[in-house]
Amino acid sequence: MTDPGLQTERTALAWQRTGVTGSVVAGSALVAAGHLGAGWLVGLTALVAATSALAVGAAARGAGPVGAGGSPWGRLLAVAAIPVLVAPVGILLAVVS
Amino acid sequence: MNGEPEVPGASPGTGPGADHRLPRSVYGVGDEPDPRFSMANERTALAWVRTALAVVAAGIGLTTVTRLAALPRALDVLAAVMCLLGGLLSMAAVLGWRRRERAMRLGRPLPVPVALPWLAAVLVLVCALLAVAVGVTRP
Repeated sequence: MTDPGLQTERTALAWQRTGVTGSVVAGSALVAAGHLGAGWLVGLTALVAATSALAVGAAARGAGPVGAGGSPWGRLLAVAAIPVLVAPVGILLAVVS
Repeated sequence: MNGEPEVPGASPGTGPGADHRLPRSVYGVGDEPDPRFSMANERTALAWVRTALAVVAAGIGLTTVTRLAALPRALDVLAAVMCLLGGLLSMAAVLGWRRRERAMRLGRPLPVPVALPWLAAVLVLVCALLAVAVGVTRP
């Protein structure tokens, strides 16, 4: 395919940005829980951060030619799970800590 | 794609060359769109996920600042709402990708981004409440 817009490269960079952002947010939640939360909340946040790291890893492993013949569904679910997992931690931090 | 010769067995769900990609609700219908459009759809979904992450991060940040600066605990409600909004937005990102991809495959008009006006409205409301809270607590 003639691709003057470098679609594949732009999409790969978008995945990278999202992975980095997800890792930073999960890490920040862990730091915040360390400062504000009780022990169990820190443990829970560490679990969420570890799961987020696994999700980023899973999305990175699935990287490859996108478009015809491929589906981003699994990778998309993996990265979309990060805010869904970190959000309850944020709510618990606000309510419990 | 239109204008190209039909490949026997390439239609979704039939023959040896059947399309087994997931989700079936997307790849089980219609024709393959231009890959550039699919990739643009993918980038849009990722942009929504990043927005969701930013909203969750803002909620956690607000909780942290509230504790460190000894601000009123009422701000925690705002923080919790922001975290909840971020989580919901992430789910909307995935569902939005699915709706758009499906519409492209079926040759239908792209659906309206439903989450966009809601996100804008909630963020404006949160900012207004935050401004009121900060104004009230100022010495």
